[in-house]
Amino acid sequence: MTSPGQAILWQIYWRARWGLAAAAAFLLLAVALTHLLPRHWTIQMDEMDVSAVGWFFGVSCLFANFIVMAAFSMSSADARNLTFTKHMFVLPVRTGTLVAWPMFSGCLTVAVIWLINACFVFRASGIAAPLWFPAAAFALLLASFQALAWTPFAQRWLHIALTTVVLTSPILVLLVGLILNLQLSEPMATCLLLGLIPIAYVAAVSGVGRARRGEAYDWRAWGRFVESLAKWRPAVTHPFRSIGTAQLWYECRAHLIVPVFIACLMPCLIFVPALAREDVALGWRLLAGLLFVPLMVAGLAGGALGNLTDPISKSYTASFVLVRPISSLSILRVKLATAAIMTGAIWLLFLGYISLLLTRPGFPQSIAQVASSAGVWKAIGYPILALSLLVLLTWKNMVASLWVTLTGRKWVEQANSFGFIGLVFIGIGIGLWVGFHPELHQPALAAVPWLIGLLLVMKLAAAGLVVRGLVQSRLTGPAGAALMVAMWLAAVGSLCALALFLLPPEYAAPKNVIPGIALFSPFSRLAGAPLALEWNRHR
Amino acid sequence: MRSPEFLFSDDVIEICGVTRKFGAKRALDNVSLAIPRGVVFGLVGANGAGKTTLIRHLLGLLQAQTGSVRVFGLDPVQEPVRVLARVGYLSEEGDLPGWMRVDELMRYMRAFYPTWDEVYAQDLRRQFELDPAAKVKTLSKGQRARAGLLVALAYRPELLLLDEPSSGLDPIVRRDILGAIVRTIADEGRTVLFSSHLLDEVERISDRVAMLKGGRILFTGELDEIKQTHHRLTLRFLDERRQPPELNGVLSWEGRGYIWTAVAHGRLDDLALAASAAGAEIIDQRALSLDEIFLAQVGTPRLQPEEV
Repeated sequence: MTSPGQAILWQIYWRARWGLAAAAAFLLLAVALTHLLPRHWTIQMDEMDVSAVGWFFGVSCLFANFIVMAAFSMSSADARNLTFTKHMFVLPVRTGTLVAWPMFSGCLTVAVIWLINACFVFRASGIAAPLWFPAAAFALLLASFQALAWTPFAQRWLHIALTTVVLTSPILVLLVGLILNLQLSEPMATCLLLGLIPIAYVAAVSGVGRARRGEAYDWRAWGRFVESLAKWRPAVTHPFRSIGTAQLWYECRAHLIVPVFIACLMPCLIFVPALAREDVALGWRLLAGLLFVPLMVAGLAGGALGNLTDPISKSYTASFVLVRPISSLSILRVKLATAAIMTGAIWLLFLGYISLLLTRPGFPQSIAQVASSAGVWKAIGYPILALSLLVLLTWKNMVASLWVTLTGRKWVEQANSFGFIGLVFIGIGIGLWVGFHPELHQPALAAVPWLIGLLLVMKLAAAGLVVRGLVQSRLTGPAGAALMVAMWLAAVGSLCALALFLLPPEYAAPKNVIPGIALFSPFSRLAGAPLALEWNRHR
Repeated sequence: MRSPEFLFSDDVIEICGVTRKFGAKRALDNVSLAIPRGVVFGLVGANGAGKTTLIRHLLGLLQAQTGSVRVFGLDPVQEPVRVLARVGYLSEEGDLPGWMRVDELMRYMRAFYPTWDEVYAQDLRRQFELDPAAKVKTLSKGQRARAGLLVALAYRPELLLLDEPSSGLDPIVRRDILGAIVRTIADEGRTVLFSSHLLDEVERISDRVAMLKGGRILFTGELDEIKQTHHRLTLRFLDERRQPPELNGVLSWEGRGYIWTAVAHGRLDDLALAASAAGAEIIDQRALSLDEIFLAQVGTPRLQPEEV
């Protein structure tokens, strides 16, 4: 390497080489398949027929932009927090150079990726995607994120909140533009966005300069407020009742950040209940959509909960917990209890947020109308049952993904994420292929029971392996393993009975319901969590 | 289960033929070690010698790929709870959760150890000048090390494992407090195993020492015995030499012409006989410090000897 710029770019590339290689490979695959697969496979959007292949791959390729943005933001493992990579501060180069290379090369890369996507995927399949305006928007989004991420703040929560607000502001600007019916030509919008990049550069240079000098933006009033609170804080003297109570306190305090983070994000989505306020049907759709948000949040929260690294200071504190005289099963039991508490907290926040829908004109009346037509017991019982199932599902989603991070292996996390994304893409691909070949519909339907049977066999095999692992590692005895299986069977049996009792018989035949619920209810992932923790604990 | 041999053994730690590889790198290579109750055991070695890996095996955080590890006669991987309840550990990284306050840390730790001595813990807190309301993340590296040491000591563990305790402590705490505490623990019949780069400190407070190099134990034994078997010898040769001769037990050479200085390992009588056979006489001899022994054992030899 002959210049600092080359060295900086090499570092960005080398740290994110696998992600960048995956993004490049996917882009190439998308371009190739867009040209190879038939164009007459179309889907209807806004009363127009658009190429299904072009739409699917074009939208998917947007993730390549986000991978590149994450790489060029340079905030990862050794940077720990949102900050510029600290070891580079001592390099004998000006701050402007430190900032310019990752910022401008990053902006250029995301713009080029969009142009490839637009020209060779969207436009190649007949979708008239704009070229320059999105390219400039991606470049500005990256530059803004870099400027914010590299600026040091004494209060980490303030840093995250500010970054979230600024990065979601384009949605607000777009909405205001739509409401005020502002019209901007594409060249004008592109120039406007490109003109903002130098401002982001100046902000980033200022931020990195401050970080180099060790000066963080400090909200002193907040600091004084926290100090005054600390003075009032009574000294903790009374001991915990048991090891379990102490560990539960530890887990709750360590992962308090998850519901706090969700609460911080909510003001950014405050406009959602205000969309098309007069449309009562949309109110019901929004209600249905929002009720499912906690289920998605739960997966991410579960990952955080399983992580033994301190989620607040991000320091590696695994051995702090693992050298305590507490069994892996007890740690896991406490994590399951913490997941239940976090589920409760997340649902309380979301119910508060969802209640904003009641401010939509005509929506409360619509709810009252539906309730009165259903009868008192159904009107009370069904929402309670639905909410209980959703809460249970949220907890299930949270604990089902615990095992991944409990292994403490980055490669397991990455393999799990990429594997999941890969399966989704393969599933969509097969779905598209079958969907556009009518002659395949009948054989595909005939194959469904076999597929479910195969999945059930795989699930049983995995469960067998996990139970054997648990017994062999002496985490539980044969009686404990039998109890776990019995509890799973009881849970599946109860859910099946409930589904068969509540759902109309034409939609819920036992041959569909029982395998569906059996596949859906986690066993190996939950029972395997202690094994994952043991694998992490005794490497 | 307590192993049957341990019922008759007074060794707190028994490591037998442990090998550990990380990829192609052999971090521990057939290490065997026994540490009896009531001693202060110093583990010395260069960076990457395997000291931390060895300590992590004792905690059950690493599993022996070959061989066995017993702490109090128990396998720390099979019975972590029973072993860890009796072990105090201070890690090199000071991996305490940053969000905890010092008093919260003490309260949390107290729950795990029935032997926690609150009066002693508060004494240590005052001695280490730690503010109970301070968050761990706001503490300096040295203060964090003190907090880690406090919570490792306050339940009076039977075995104290200190991984590079000196790296975060200032000289006053290191010399006056840590040394005194470690000696007190040993006097009470408890055992201390600590790794350190600071050999003067190891020499000052250890009863026994093991020196690791490249994952292998170079030597282990009583500190006095080790010092008695290492010598700095000044030799006068009958003829002028460009290269020193090959002598059994010599670890390193310095000098030129007729007068050469050797750092040697072995009985003095044997070394004198060997020198005489090589045409030299010992004109001066003195004992070595642990620092000098370490350098001679671990450092690269400055001169290549010639065959006699």
